[in-house]
Amino acid sequence: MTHALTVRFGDVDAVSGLDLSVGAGRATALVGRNGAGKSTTLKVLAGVVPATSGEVRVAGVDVRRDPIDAKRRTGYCPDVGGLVPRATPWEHLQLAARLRRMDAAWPHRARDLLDRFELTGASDRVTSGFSHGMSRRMSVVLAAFHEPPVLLLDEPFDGVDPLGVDATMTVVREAVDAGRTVLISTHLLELATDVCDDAIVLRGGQAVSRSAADELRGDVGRARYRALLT
Amino acid sequence: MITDVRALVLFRLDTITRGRLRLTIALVALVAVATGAVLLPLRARGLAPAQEADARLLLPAAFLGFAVTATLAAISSAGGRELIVRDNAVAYPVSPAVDHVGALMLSPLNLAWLLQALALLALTSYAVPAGSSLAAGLLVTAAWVTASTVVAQALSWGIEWLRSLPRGPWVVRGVGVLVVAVVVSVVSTGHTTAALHASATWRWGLAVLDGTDGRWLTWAAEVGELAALTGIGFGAGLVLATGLARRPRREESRSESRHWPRRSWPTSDALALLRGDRASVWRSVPLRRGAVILTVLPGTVAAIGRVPWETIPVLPGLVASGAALLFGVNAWCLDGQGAWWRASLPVRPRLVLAVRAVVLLETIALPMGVTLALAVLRAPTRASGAQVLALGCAAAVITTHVLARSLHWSVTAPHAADLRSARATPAPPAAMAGYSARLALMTTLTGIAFGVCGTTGRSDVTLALTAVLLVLSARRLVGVARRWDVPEVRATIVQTVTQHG
Repeated sequence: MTHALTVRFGDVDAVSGLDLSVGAGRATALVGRNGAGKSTTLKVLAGVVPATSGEVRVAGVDVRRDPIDAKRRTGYCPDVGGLVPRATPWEHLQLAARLRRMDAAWPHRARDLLDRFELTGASDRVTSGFSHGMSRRMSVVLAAFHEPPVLLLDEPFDGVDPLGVDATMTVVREAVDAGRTVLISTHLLELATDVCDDAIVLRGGQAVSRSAADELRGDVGRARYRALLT
Repeated sequence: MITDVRALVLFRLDTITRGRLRLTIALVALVAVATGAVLLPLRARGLAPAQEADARLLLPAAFLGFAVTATLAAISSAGGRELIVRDNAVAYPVSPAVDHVGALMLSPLNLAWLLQALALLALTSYAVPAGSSLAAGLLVTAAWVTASTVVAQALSWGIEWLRSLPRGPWVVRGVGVLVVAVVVSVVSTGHTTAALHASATWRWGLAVLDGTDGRWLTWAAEVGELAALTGIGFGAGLVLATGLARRPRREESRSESRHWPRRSWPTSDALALLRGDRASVWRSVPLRRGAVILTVLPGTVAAIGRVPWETIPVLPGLVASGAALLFGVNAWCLDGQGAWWRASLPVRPRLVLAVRAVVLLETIALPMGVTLALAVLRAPTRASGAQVLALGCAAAVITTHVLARSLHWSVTAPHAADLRSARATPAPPAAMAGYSARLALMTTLTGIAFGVCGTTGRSDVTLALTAVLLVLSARRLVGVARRWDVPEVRATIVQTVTQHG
């Protein structure tokens, strides 16, 4: 998906020559310390931050050359917020359905997801009154809503209650079972290894390890992970 | 309290990363203008004694005008500007007293307040007879400016406190209607002069001259009264601000907890975006309140005051600038933290920009239309064709200029802003003061130019001026669109506006 990706903010390289390839039908965890470049990588893949150099493709589409098509093929849950403060969840979903050219069955899919994430009762309230956990859950709903070929979730478990975590995990597994690509950036290693097939460790904007997610499980896995961070 | 205020002021100054030089230049310019406002009229004294006598008679009305401006400024901003946004301050022990003092300190950052205060200084300087003590007169004016501002601040806390009660908003609306009705009846029955004579400003306005006439005891008593009024106003403001801090934010809470009806399927991408942007404006408490005030107040004042046709072309600038300051100068802040999600949607960036421009245009056009309609209907004379043309052109040129300027600032200098609180503004106080000064200067000059064209019947000049100014604004809009096309620029804007909270 990315080749020699570099993202520079002023004098700082947030991502530095990153090569990343995530296959279809797999969930991959992107882990690492704060500032490792995880969120920036997801933003580039989602087409919301341009790469300074390098090649970026999602589902075979060049993000820089055809950003609209690339955005149609991705669903993105940003790391913070992610919701327009004075719009309701239903309005978010309706706007997404319109711009993503979804078919007439979109309300059924919307109601199903809102129900699974326990947001039905709040679906017509503006999101500025939502708790952090509610906002996170709604952001996952919006990312998964149109069943995109590439699902990009940035900190989807942060501050979310166990039922919300379960709902997110179910969405990820459904996407993987349907042959889609899932990339999850998170600090919660245990949850990441529970739901993902692979894990990529980033450090200083570069990938320092790529392994099966299982290899980062348990005490041995955690020790290995810690060693990779420094 | 003083330590806390000082810490917050220093914090505010530290957060100004851009435009420190501009801030310094603005402060130097302000001191120069204030000095000029006092010194220049001195040179004109003695040249036209009849006009100086008129200026003395104008003083009480000018004093009243300043008090009304200070009160409206404080009330319309729901208690004035904040040294630190309440949501950000929630983890720190910022007391209501600090908030009260902060709001008072930031009062001069309102352009209407500042211009009126400068005009009052200039009028005082002109009205005091040659050879008399100017310092004594200026001291009364300064005391009046301070007392009016402090009392206005207390009044605004009181009104916000009333609003926070279960049926408070209706009570406040009722009081507002009552005040307007009283003013209308006084003006329409020809009692304006009598009412001015009866008002306290008559006495305090003329107190400016007491020191100069050698009535020092009277002068000292009047300055003492103003000082006492300031003290009482400050104390009352403190009590009311403390009371208000304990009340729930009812209006904001109501907006966030209500269930909004679902809309039908949008028939186009543009309509879908338009609905979202409109909702972001009208569901925001400060934006809704500001838009309503802008729609009602200038038009009502123009209708009551029966503005002459020569002056009506200045009104579009006043209203358009006010509308742009609601959110237009930082238009992307409407998306808040949802800006990243919005950026991930598959839609042409130009369409997003065009829709945001349309919503800003609506926000400008609605109050401007109402104001001009009321002003034209109540104008004391019939207009010539040239004047009607000049007014139409002024409205078009000023609207386009304000739109282009606002979008330019939105793209080149975005700010993180949360328009949740009734006191929220789209940019920090100093930036807002800069925006309002620049908008007011340009739009007022444009309005005056069109007013002169209309009065002198020079429709050819009107049309030529319109063409030139529209081309300039169109060029700026094209520049905005080109900047917005650059993905790095859009990413920087989104990164900035999502940093709040």
